Amino acid sequence: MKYLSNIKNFKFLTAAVMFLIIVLPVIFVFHFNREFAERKEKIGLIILGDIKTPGWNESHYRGIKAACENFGIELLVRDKVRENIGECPAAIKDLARNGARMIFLASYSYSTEAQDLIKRYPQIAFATNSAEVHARNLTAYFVRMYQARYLAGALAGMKTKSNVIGYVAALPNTEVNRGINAFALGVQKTNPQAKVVVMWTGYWQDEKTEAKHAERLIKEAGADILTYHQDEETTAQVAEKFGVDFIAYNAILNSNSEHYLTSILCRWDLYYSDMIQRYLKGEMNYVKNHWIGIERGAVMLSNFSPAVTPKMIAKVDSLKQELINGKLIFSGKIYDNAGNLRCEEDEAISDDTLLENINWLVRGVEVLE
Amino acid sequence: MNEQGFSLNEKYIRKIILQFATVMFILIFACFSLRTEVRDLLNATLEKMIAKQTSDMSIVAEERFSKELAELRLAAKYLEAHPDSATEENFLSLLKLDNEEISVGLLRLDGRAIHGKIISKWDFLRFPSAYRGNDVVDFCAGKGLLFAVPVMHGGNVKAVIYRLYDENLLPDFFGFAEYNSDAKLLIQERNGQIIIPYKNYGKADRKFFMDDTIRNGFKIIRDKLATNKSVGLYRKAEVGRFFLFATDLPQTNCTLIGYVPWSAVAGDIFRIYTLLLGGGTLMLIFLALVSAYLFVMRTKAEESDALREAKRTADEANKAKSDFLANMSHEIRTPINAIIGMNEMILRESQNPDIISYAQNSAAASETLLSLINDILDFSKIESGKFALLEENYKLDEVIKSLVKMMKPRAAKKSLSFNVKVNPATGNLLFGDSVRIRQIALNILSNAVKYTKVGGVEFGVDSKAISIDKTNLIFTVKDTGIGIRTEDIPKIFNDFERFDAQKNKNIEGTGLGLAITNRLVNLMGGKIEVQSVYGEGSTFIVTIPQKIVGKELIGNFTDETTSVQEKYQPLFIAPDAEILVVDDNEMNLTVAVNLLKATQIKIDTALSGMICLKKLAERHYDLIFMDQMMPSLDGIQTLKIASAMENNLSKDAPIIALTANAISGTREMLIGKGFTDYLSKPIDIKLMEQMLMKYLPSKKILPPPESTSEPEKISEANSDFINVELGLEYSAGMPDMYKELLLMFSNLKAEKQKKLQEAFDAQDWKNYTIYVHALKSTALSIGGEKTSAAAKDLEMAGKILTAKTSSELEKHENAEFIQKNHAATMKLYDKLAEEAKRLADTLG
Repeated sequence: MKYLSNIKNFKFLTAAVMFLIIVLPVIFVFHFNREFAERKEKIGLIILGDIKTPGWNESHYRGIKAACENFGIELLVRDKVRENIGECPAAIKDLARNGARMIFLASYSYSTEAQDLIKRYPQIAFATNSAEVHARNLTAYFVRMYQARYLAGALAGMKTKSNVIGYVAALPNTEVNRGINAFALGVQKTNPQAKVVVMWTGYWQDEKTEAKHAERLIKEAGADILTYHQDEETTAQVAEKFGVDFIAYNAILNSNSEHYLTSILCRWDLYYSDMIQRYLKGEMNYVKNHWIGIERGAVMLSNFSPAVTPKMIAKVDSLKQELINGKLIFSGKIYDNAGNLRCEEDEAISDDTLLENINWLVRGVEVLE
Repeated sequence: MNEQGFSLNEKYIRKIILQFATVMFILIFACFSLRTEVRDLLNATLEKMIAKQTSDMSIVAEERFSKELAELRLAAKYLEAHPDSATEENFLSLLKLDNEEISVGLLRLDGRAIHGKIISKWDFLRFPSAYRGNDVVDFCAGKGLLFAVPVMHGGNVKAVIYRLYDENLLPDFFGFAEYNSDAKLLIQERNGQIIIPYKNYGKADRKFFMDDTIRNGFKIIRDKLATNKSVGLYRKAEVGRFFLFATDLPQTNCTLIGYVPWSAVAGDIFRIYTLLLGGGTLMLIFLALVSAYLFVMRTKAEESDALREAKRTADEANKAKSDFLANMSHEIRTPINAIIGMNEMILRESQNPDIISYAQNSAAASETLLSLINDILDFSKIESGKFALLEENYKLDEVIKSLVKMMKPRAAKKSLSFNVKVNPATGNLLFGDSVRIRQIALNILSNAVKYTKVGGVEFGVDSKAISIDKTNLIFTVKDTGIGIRTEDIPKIFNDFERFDAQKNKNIEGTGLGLAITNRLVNLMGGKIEVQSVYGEGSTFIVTIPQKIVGKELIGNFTDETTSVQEKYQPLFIAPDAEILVVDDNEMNLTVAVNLLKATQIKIDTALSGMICLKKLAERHYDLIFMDQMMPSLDGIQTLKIASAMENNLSKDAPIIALTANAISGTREMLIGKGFTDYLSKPIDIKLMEQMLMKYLPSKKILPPPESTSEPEKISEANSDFINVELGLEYSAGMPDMYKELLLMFSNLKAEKQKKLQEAFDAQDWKNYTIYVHALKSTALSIGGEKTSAAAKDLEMAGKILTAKTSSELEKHENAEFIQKNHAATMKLYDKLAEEAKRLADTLG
């Protein structure tokens, strides 16, 4: 008491104490509330190329961006992250540091590379477009792109004159093989005589090789329709140049050419929206694979070229309806190009196999070395 | 309490109450406004809690689904390993669990049934996913809940096995009954249709679901479910307050929804909240009270600080005052010492009655001054707590005698009677501070005399035994004076208090007398009683307890004093004694030396400590008086050196301190320092003589001679005109010579006077002045002071008259003065000559 009264500026002391008594709880309450209210979700995207490059990179970026805007989520992007040289794990660590609670690994080999790291971040939900690696917090996601390839194949089968269709493909992995097989099955559906000739470039992005291969497919194999499974559109440009028909992939090309038959498209925004919604609902880590397809409108063909006849369009539409109604492309008797029976008459190839284990090409597909 | 100070007056209390009330108002207001906030927050929290519970339900449901699927998968594995239709049939019947409402089947890829019913993919939209190799849980209203798993053949799907639960089974299947009994649970399709209502779903429930607020709430829930696993929502509807909740069942198209009354969930929590609010309010009130208490305490502390500070300042001022007074006493006592000493000398040596009268007046005034200073000093000592009683054995009759001796002349002067009545049974040998007791009595007696004009003063002394060795000494002083008003009686002991200022303006005094008296009496444990009738007189009764140290009684008190001014008589003579007086003040030395002249003691003096030491080494002294305060070497230091000095011839001699420093404790201090005794200044010759008698070797003390009465005889005969003593002095103390001179004077008178008269008549002022000068000297040499003085005046006038520098006016005035006074002087001359002749005859 004596001490208190000895303090000369008692009034200041009182003021200070009152200030603390009033202001501290207010700050505390505001801080506390903000912590609850303003914990904005952050999602990370790691992708191979420049997000401004049309094709795979831009389509994914736009898709995820639209989905994030829809849910009011902050998107963190790490692009031009090359595979297998340690850039991907670095990018994952960086995103984790920046508070990303979900990370999309939007290139095929990322998950293999970051396998260990994924397990070290159990609180982060990872999603990738390959099914090579499994982890509790890793969901393989993809769209049933092969359904669109099947329809594109059916169109190509109807359109080809030379009965040779060229296919520029990156790598012989499950994803690419699945696409080639679905395409070939589509071709065979409308034109059992036609064959698909495949050339491997070895890279997702390699303009020179792609161009060279496309030219060879036209000149050597005699293909009058080209399609491709690459991140960029070089093949389309070569086809255009040589005046052959082509079916583009993952982008609507800025072209009015009659040879530009259609594009195989994917609604990535829809897809990412679906994924993020599942993540927000807390379902992400309970699902091993997540595939959506044509029945949800996730894959489609773009508007057809004027060179495509209404009859052809009607055929494609009817096939599409079959798929929507539940027809399975990989069912019934299927032989590979080595003559092995891959699927029996009353069987269907399971999703698991389609995702992980297609190391063969169907009968009617040739590989040009 | 002080009105202007920090005291807790009404204003402060009102301020505190106002502040307190304001704070309370704000708090209550804040509580009320916060209540809504808190309720919202609480409901929001409960919503989250309920959402969490709901999501737990969905997890439970998921687990049930997983269990179901796992069972089917096991069956599928078995069928993959045993593709035999008979086995299949038996195995599938096992899965039905013998319940009619559960159906099991095995379907081919084209939809045809191998066993059981076919399942339409239009009923169960998710069912085709089984053909892609995935496990399926799907619900169809009216059909039930379907579980399906693929039967594989390598990586390919060969068939699908399913189990279908009828709707009726579902409430049990989901175990709704196991949840909170207050909550109602049901399953809805995601399009909003209720598919499984809870048990006893009735009219009231339908009304509940039709309520707009509730419907709206469920709509919000559905929107929220898009991005949330589960949602809880508080709604206040007409039908009541509820929490609504919902969760999407995983892998199905179903939503589990429900509601629970608000009170079932929040009731207890709100009770806690109310409790907290009440407790918090109490705490706040307590806090406010504590604040108020602290405020009061602080004010008090400030106040007491201020008081302490004021007291300290006052104490300091008081100490400064005391110090000042103590110093003053020293400074003032020294000159008074000189005055009193000189007066004493005049009184002793002068034969001229006028001068003796002046000296007496001067001495009286000095005594008054001294007593005033003593009063003030006493007062300051008592005030500063430095006052101490000096108690010793004393004889009461001596005290009374001295009092009577002092008071009687004063009373006589005012023509007042002064009667003393002493009880003979009063003990005479007492122990106490006799000086102060005398002072007390003297003060009261002085006042009595001072304030009485007619009548008299009666002084009574009595005692009343308290115990064997203790008695109450009682002084009663009764006067017939002006008296004291009854209302003034309590105030008379106040400091500086004087009454009837107008009436008593001619009575001098500090007004401290009674205050000091009262304090002294209190100090001794006694008391003063006052009885008075205004205008008629007062009675003061002083009671002081004293110790009795002897059996002797006072007996019949005899008043033996005389009112006649006695000629000074030394108590003794000691012509063989030699003493040394050390003082830095020459006048003091002169006083001391002259005062002791009559004792015939050989007196040596020293003006400083150094000289004293020197003298001590030269010869032996019987006693040394040493001033305490001297420059450079003071008394104490000198004493110290002297006692350590080897060649000190007077080592055995008592050394008595002379000090004007009358602060109590001085005596003890001085004796402690090695002084034999001390004597306070101004020197009282009686005390000094007593001191000498006490400390001088007794063999050197002789009784005083009778011869001193002789000159008295002379003075008695001639005191009115000739100062015999003076004349004798001029005659070197030889009467014969004096006689000769007297005769010479008278014989030459005729001749001289003739010459003087001639010069006067001729206005020969030059010669006149010479003759007058001669008269002045010769008259003085025989002790004719008056004549000499008159001649001196004429001489002065003549000198001015004859001086060349004098103005006409001066000359005129002085000529006139001579004309006027010449005759008178001549008459004085005649008389002196006559007296001289007569005296010469007497001496002869």
